[in-house]
Amino acid sequence: MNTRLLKKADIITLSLIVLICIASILIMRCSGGNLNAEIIVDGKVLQTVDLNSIDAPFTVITATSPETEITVEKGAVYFSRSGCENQLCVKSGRLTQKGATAVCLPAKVVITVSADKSVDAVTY
Amino acid sequence: MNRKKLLIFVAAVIVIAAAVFVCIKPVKNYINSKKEYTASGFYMNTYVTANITGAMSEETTNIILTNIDTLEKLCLSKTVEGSDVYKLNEKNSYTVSQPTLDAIVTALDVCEKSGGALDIGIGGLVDLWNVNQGASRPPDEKQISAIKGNRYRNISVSGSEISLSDSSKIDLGSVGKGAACDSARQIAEMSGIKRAVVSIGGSIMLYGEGSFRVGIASPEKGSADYIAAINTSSGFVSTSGTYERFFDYDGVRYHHILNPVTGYPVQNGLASVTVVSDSGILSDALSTACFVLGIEEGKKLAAQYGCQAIFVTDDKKIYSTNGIKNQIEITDNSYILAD
Repeated sequence: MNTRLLKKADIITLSLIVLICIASILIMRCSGGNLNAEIIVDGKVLQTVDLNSIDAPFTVITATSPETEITVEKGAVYFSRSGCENQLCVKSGRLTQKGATAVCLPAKVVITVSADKSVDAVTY
Repeated sequence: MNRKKLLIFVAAVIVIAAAVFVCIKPVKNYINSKKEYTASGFYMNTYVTANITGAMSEETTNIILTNIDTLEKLCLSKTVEGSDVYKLNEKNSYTVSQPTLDAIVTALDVCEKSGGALDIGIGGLVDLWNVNQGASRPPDEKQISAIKGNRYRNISVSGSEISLSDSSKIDLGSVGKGAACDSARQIAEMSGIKRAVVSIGGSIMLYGEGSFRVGIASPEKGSADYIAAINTSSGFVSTSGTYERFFDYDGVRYHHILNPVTGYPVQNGLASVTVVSDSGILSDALSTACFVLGIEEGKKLAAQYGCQAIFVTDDKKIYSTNGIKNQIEITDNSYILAD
């Protein structure tokens, strides 16, 4: 009778479990994670979307005065159209980085990509 | 314990250990997030966000936002009927409340020390250009000539009474957001919270232990992106930039930072000036004054107040005072640290 508690096959099995666990942790840590964008109208969150999970681009039109159109696509969100005069929001371009924010002051609409604390705030 | 049981036991320990390892951070984050509160809104004609960590974070955030609103409506706004500044401009002489008085006295000191580069008496010129309210073409040259020139010398202070000796109008647009940051700081201190980041249209109040990282907005994309980051501690950061409010006419960009002497928007090759200070109103006032003065004179003015300044030029160079050079990290490689 073999008195050893763990056989060679058991050690291989346990090693496999350890490897699977390590691989799972690495995959979870290294995966892109969520890139959440928030559309905020007059201080209230209108919609939150995970930009990494967008399959087909879509637009959100805010019922504000002036009206704004926000395009959401994979990895990016931006003001695609606005009824405001200075068009600063449209000129802000595509928001792709965490912490980025674009504001349409006349319409009181904000789009922001969730902060990852790479910066605490942006001064402008 | 037989072999099979031991095998199951060891496997279970490994899996549980892995699960705990994976979950510790989310669990910790979850607990921390319970103490963190963020709110935003539109006040002082700009976008305001407050992110507070600590007990009473929600209450403190709401108090800070309400206070900003009150400060605008009762004290600093030039356009809200009933505010101190509105009444002062209307009556030419008015006894103002303490926050208004503090803001005007500090601003007048910067007006004086900057040789009029900052001028809170040019409300008429600001109205004439109307850049903040959506102007699409420059005003008539004769109108500018009639109204240009330093006006802060026409403002006098006697106790709490402010007087204007001619038709000058006070405009606290270049100091109001900084003054509101100072108020936010006072509330943060009284509330006993751990950490606060309040942004009033890009004028930032940082409160709490440890370090903070503040992005300097991209001149091309404004707050949507940043070109460099400042690593700093608790304090205040403000920026004046040509990209913030402007209009294009006949191929020329007209922005909101006016040179009081010429009456026209400043054209000196600068895209923005950021000032780091232990006073909100000084960081705000000096960012405008240093912009108007340019790099060399701006550095001297910042030094007079013990503040640090960062100058971003149109040709993508970044200059700074010596005290903050080592705290600047370029994040957009098309920009270079120039000295």
